[in-house]
Amino acid sequence: MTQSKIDPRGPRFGATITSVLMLVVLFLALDASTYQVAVWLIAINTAFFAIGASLGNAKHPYGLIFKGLIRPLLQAPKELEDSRPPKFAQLIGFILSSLALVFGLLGSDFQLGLIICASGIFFAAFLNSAFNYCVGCQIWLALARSNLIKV
Amino acid sequence: MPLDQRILALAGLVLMASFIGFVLISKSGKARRIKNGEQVDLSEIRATKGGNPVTKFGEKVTLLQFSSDFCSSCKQTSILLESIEKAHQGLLHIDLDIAERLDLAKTFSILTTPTILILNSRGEVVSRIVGAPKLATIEAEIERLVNK
Repeated sequence: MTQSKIDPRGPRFGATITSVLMLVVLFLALDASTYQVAVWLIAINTAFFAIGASLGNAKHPYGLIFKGLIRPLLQAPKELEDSRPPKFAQLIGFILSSLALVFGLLGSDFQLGLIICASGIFFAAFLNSAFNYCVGCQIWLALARSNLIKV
Repeated sequence: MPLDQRILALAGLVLMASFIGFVLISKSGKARRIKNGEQVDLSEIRATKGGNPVTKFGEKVTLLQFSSDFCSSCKQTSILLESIEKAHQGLLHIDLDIAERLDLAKTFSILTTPTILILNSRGEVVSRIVGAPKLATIEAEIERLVNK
């Protein structure tokens, strides 16, 4: 496995956008008249997570925004971090977002499913953004400990 | 759903997430003292250091760190503990990759990485730190063991 390094502020910047986006999604999903818009946003969000989970955070649209617009304004990072943890977090996000999309496409009877999944993404993104707390690491360890994933 | 109810629901969600965040942060990196801690068995740990097997505890203190690949703060913690090891006499730092040693994760109930067990000269667990610690936290624990 290649050990690439990234600026840790990149994924955190992305998580900030994601958490705001999830609040917008939830706001729209809670009203029947705007439910479809929420489903569209979830679809876009799922596509973004798919890019992050397969190509890494640097190729993610938010990662590109960070690199192009934000990073030139900041000082050089104090340290770089392993690119794998945030990439794993993108995979978790992709799974949750896909589930939310499936619920969304099944119609408004499945509103609760969409809301639970979107809330889950919000929690993870918010904890990363505001508290620098990596939910993905904990999930990975829990899965590894219960022998659900091969390490 | 009416506008004000939706806004209330979202505000509740943000509050809940903030609360969880503060609880997680407040526990993270703090040392928890352990009375009558278990004796660590080096032959069970089978740790290596610089390619050689570790057969002895640190003369005064051993910092037993559990790390994992998918953990960005583990590397920073390793660097911190290595620098502390260099600065003190009789201090040993061991870094274990949980991914390779899931049996140890079960033995020591490691739920989060990094987790650091601080052992006395006899290899008994005296404190446990979950999450990346600050230099001062570790120094305080070392002081307690060295000046006993």
